[in-house]
Amino acid sequence: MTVDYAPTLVALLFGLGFSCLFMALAVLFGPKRGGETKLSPFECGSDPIGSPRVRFSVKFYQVAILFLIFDIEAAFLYPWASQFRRLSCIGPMAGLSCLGTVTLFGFVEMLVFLGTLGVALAYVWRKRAIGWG
Amino acid sequence: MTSLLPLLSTAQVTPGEVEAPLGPQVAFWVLAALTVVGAMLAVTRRNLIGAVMSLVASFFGLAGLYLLLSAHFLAAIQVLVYAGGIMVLFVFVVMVLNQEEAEPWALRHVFGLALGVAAAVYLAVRLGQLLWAAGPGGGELASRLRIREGAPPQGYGTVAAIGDYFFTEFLFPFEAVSILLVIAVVGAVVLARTTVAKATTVYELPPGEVDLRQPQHDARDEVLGVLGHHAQAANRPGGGH
Amino acid sequence: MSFDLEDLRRTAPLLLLSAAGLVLLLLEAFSRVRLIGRHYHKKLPPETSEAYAVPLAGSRTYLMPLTVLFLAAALGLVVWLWPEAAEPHYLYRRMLVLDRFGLLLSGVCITAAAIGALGAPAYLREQRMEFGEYYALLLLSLAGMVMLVSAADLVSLLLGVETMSLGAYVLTGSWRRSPRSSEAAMKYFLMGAFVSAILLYGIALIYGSTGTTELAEVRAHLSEMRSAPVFYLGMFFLLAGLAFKIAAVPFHMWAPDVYEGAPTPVTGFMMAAVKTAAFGGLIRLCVGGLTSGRVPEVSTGPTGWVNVLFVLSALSMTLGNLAALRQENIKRLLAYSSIAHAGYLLVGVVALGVVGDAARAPLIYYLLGYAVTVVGAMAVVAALAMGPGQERLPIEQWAGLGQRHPAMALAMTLFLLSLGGFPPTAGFFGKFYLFRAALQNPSLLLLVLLAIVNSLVSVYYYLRIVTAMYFRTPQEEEVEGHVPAAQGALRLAVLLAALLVLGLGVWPGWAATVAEAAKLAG
Repeated sequence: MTVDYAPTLVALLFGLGFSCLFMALAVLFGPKRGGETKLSPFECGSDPIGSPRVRFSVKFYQVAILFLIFDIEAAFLYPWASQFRRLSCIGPMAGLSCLGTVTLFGFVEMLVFLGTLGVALAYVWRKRAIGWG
Repeated sequence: MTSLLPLLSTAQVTPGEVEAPLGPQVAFWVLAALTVVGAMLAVTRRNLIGAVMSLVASFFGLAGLYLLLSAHFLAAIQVLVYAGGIMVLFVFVVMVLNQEEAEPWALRHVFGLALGVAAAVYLAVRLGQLLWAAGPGGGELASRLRIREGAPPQGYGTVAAIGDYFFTEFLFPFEAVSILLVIAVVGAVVLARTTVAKATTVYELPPGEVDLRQPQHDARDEVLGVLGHHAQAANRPGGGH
Repeated sequence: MSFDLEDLRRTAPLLLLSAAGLVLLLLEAFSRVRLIGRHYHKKLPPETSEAYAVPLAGSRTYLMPLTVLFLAAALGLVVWLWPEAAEPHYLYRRMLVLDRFGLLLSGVCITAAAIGALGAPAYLREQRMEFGEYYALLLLSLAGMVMLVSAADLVSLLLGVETMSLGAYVLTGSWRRSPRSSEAAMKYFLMGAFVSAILLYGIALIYGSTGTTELAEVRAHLSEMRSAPVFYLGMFFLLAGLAFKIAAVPFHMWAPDVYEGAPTPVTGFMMAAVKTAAFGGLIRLCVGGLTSGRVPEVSTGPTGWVNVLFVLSALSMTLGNLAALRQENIKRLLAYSSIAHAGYLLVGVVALGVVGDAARAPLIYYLLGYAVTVVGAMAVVAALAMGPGQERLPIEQWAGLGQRHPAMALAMTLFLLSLGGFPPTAGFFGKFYLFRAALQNPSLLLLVLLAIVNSLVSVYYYLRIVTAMYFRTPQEEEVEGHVPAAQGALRLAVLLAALLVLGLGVWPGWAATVAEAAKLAG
């Protein structure tokens, strides 16, 4: 039910409120001694002002895609883990324990999935696609 | 439009009564507005980073709508994968691919533009008809959409319920997705590979030879093409990286 | 949880292709690299060898034979399952179906891919773009095609389309040094991604209106969908998505650029295998999911899919042929010809809706004939490349080939005659068989007449190449000292394709019998 999300909403509001509050406090009470050096980025990436159309190495892009693919792989693991006992049991269940026959079905199906992506990972590793080398 | 509400929120609806409680109604409209406005800004903003950020807002709105529909797991994945991973990817794409201001090539031809506008108008009219035909209460439409009335079953949309579907009913698609992901991995490695063609490699052609990589045909074969067939990259001499 | 191990046996070709793809990927990544670049530099004239001394990716020469071996094994499994598939078996909770239709189309795709793979190494080496992932991508993409042609559910249909297309996008863009190839891949991918969204939207709408994604169940619900706008919208979206994959007008815009920009063996693979598989998916959707004797208006009604495909068919063959008439580049010409052939093939799909099952065998026969023909034609184009980055694309460069490369010119003539529909080739009997089946219903007379007129028009541009090869003298000399890429395997590929084209044309009986037996489930 939608009411169940009330705590989430409260947390969201608190988060927003606090960040706004601290920003406001900083603006109000913080010392203001600006200058050229103060405005320059220090160990936090490139100059934020200027043309956004800077050319990045395609490597960034590649790493991002690879991250995304394995991110999706991980997302599949959650529902599997929550159903693992059910999937490994033929017959009735009492709570979490299986009253029927225990099978490897749940284990094997994820093994096949992970094995396939394991091949991809081995390939990526071997091709040195996740480094800058 | 209000008539569609009971179909879209999870509120308890008895067959006779169509008004959903106020909470979900307000939430639905706010999230729907966020989603649609975010998506519209994403395609209209000239500033690409701004466009991408609008898309993030749209993704969050969509995640909220999933929550309203009791699809908890889907909402979490929406935030994790789309608002997280895919947005990173988009930012990279924006930064990697737009070194120069170029005309959007898909709309270079008036014909293509006209076709797109016509298709959009047609779609809008069809959807309008659909909503109009639905009438108050979503009556006929609701029956055609096979909407299950009332609250969703216990545990609907949770991680466990999704798991139950994935690993029994949809086991084959689940395993097939792994093949799809492997191709995506290989594609990323193959297409971003830099060792095959060194950036400095320039083709030198034997004297008197025509460089076949340059365009040799003119606009004559554009009888049908909605797209121009050579982006600017194709005309750059010695390109190919 | 129960699981039927029989299902694994019944999807043996699919499992073999996927596993083989993964094995090739591991081999590519883990076996020792042998750089073969220098060997080829020696054959170039001394003054150019420095310019061509491009660092090559190492490649293993055994990858191609291994791929062909795997493909032959997959074909063997298809034959092995053939008797069993006389009765349809639903697999994996009715996600896939094993029937003879799916098996035969899988066989066509595998054959086309095998012929294409035979010719690939010579071309890739010549163009300095060898990479081992080529074969892995080929096999995995093929696995997607097998999924697509045996889909019994919209979910597996979509997954098949995606797996197939993703492989094709990467292969299209794999010629890293050619800007054309990158551009083609970019266009193909962007539009393909958009089309995937449309397909998904269509599936969602159909699921929303019928409450199921299973094709047989969708069909069972058709009577409630008589006038449901949501359902029709979903159907149109699905048709549009698949029309994009088969390159039918007006969803063809990508085809000329992509077919031209892709490496030539990949172009052959896409024209033959991707098109066959996409037609397989379209037939599954239209016949398996959207045709019911009790509810004729969904198929033959004013907004039924038959009318939609009727229009697409007429547009594709007419506009495809008109555009092909003006092409000077052989790959673009064959690309537009491929659009026109999508139109002819759609006549068959329309006939399936109007005439019924009688049009199935001719359609399958046509698909088989077209697939081997284009794969052969592309193998010839690949064999006649004149050096790195220099394919023989403008038609004037084909002048005088009859004397210089008589065997290749003869094979190309055969393929072009087959595309134009001359006896005694596969193309002739395919057209005859298909149009005859369509004419069983007089309402298709107009469409068939249009197709015949179009076939006659197309003869002009096919014969233009033949005339150039035999009756015109070459304008300029070829690169001195160049060794044509046509090596054993590439010649074998051309020969195989030529034999198949000729065999299908001279003895059409056996293929027609097999196609006749290839019944659709449901």
